[in-house]
Amino acid sequence: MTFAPPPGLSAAQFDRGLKAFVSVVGPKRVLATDEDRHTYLDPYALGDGLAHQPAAAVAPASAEEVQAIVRLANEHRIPLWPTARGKNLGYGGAAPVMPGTVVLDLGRMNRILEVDPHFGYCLIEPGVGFYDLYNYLRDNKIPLWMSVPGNAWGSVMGNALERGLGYTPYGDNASKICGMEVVLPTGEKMRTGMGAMAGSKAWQSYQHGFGPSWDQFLVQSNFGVVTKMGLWLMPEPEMTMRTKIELPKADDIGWAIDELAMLRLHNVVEHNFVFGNYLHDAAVFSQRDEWYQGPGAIPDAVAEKIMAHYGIGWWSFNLSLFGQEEVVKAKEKLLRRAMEPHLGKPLEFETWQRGDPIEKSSAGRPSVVALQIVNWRGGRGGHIGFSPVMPPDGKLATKQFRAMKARFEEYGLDYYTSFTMGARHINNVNLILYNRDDADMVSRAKGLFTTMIADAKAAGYGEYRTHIDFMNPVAASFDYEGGVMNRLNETVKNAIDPNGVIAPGKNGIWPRAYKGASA
Amino acid sequence: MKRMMAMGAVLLVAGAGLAIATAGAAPVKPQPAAGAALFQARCGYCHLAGGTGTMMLERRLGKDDALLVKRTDLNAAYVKMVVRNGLNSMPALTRVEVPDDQLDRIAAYLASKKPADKAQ
Repeated sequence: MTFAPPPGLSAAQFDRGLKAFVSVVGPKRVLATDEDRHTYLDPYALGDGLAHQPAAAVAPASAEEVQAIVRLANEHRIPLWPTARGKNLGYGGAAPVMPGTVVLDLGRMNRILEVDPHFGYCLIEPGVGFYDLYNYLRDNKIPLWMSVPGNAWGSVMGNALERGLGYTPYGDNASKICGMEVVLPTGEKMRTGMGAMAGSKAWQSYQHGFGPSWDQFLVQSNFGVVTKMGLWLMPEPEMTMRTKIELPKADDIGWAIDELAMLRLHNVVEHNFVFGNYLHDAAVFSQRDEWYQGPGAIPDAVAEKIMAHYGIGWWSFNLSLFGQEEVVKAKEKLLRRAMEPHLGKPLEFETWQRGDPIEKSSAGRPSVVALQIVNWRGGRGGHIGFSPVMPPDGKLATKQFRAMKARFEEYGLDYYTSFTMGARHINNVNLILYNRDDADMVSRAKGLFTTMIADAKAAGYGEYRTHIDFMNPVAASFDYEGGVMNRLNETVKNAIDPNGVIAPGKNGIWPRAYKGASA
Repeated sequence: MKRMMAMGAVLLVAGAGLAIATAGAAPVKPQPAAGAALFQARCGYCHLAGGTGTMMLERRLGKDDALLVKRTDLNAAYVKMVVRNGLNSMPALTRVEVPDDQLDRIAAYLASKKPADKAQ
């Protein structure tokens, strides 16, 4: 397998840079064999993924080693792509936007530095995974709950930095960040929020600090390497009640989104939830060939058979109530009042009270089973999501659903979607499932994704997060006043990272040094 | 619907098993030397009972060959090749996630299984 060194460097110059990295982390932690490069490719790439092939990886064990590497990266002009555990699956995994970038693998920095059981926060390093933190809380009988995403293989910090979601009241993970330690592109180490004061006793207590707040500046950006993160955790509630609701008809989306939006707006339902179509369950429990072997998207008649077989609706979603018993019982009444007249039958709840087995509760518990969906088509499976943000309006959701379903059918791909509901918005996650080795299917998936970017822009919706293949066009769709925000991002980037060493191209932010290096 | 509820129960069991497997993960100490423990910690996310890898293998190879710890046909070189290259929907794992010395022990453990292990 051939590879390219970073743009502008000869093989000999690159080799000198790698030797410098060895002086910091030792020879075993500079990974530069063909096999190493292969392991850092996007495992769900649309095709072979070689357009984003890194030139090597380097794995520090401490913030001080990160500082040393960043300084050497400046000296040797080697761009770095920080990754926490490399499980940003569906968005590129650990792979960089620009080929030839060196992956800065932070997986060895995996300490849980502090958990405060009383005030409900943790301070963690990038390599701490959801399972690690979950087990730590359980083993130490700490009554704090995590918010866990659908794929829990990855890093707690990495998920928050990409604005990943969980499904408890703390599920907007980026909003629970409280204080970070970051290595700046110059190699200096900074702490955000109250941590900017040496000796601060309130780093994880207050999110904003004094003057401008830099925490959100480090989210989905390439302005630094986060080496520690404070994150608020949810105190264990006294009680939870949960119910799964199935909606039989596709057109139920209209009334349901309108009712659910009000339940979210008024905090009756306090958590994000996936309002997903039947394929969410079908793609976990079966493969496509079991239902349909023909060309094009799965016909509606086959979809009906799948739903009948599993006893599921066109749409389904899980709602939970959290809190003191009196609060939960009061909210149960409000939920019943909103939903039951539409459903024509009573909601069925599972109730958990403190002391019951945790499995009965609505606590976030890590699982990787959701990844089963990539096996829907068989072969080397993958998925990629196009997820525009839209208002939680039933009419708009119905229109979007019909338009996107038609687009999937136009490209001959099965329509897997959710209208994931936040406090005041929907993330309309349109997931394309494909076999990476089917060139025609990959081509259609790329075509569909590109078309959906344009469709969303025309409708006034933009994506909340995207795959490394599409960071440029999605950034370009944020074009108010000729894209002034993107120009500001790049002005800041060039000011604080003049050599462009941290994650060039991340979210469409290109430093001057590599502008035009990769499309 | 019954099938889905049964599947849910399986997943809960799998989750519980993994919690035990990676207990005491933080602050992270040097991993135990035994291949079995390393397998649980590094591969257990997907390859215990009810895990997503086990589900995929069951579809491809049948129930008897779905659980890796019950397999008697794995050799160490093959295990290492799959881990570093991935297979079908399984991503490749880096030398940071599973260092070479740990992979050697995991591969030796999986290659050591005899027919008697399968019956357990």
